Amino acid sequence: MKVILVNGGPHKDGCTNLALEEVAKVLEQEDIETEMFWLGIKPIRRLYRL
Amino acid sequence: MEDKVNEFLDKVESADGFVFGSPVHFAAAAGNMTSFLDRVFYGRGNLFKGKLYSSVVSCRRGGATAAFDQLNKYALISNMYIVGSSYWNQIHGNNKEEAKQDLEGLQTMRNLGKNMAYMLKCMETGNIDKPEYEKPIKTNFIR
Repeated sequence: MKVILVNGGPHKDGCTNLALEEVAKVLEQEDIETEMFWLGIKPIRRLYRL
Repeated sequence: MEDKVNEFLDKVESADGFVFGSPVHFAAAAGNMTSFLDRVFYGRGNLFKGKLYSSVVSCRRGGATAAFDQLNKYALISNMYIVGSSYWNQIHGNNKEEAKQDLEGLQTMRNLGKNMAYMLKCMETGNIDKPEYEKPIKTNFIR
């Protein structure tokens, strides 16, 4: 079993990551695999419909 | 365009649950997070059905629950199961050192982890068939 935690903050190791790490720590203790996924600071294209 | 959306979509199938974390900007999720989730769930929302969902927000002072509500909307339209905690999933502080002082926020995150682990284990050990859904009906508001 695996949980992916997505960090949408501009800092890889900022406040949002701190909160996600606290969730991940408990999941790991409970034998759940975790993966952090940082969105980074490069632009992400918005949704548009042609 | 190759950006983080495509990289993330390649991983979705391998996961049983997700936690989406965002800072709070003007009482909403960050712009990049909104663009990311809009595209992920607009095109590929069907990948997520039956999986667990939660969101967390990081906030200096106000707007946390508005952003939290926004983030939860994606799950509620995708046949996902939202996992809660002992409070709305928010942590307060203007930087990491301040956020570390939000002991209630950190406890909320740990309780969220416990609830998510419990639900994942229930779903894995349970012997109940997953729901089968009707063919989707799309009724636009044109009448």
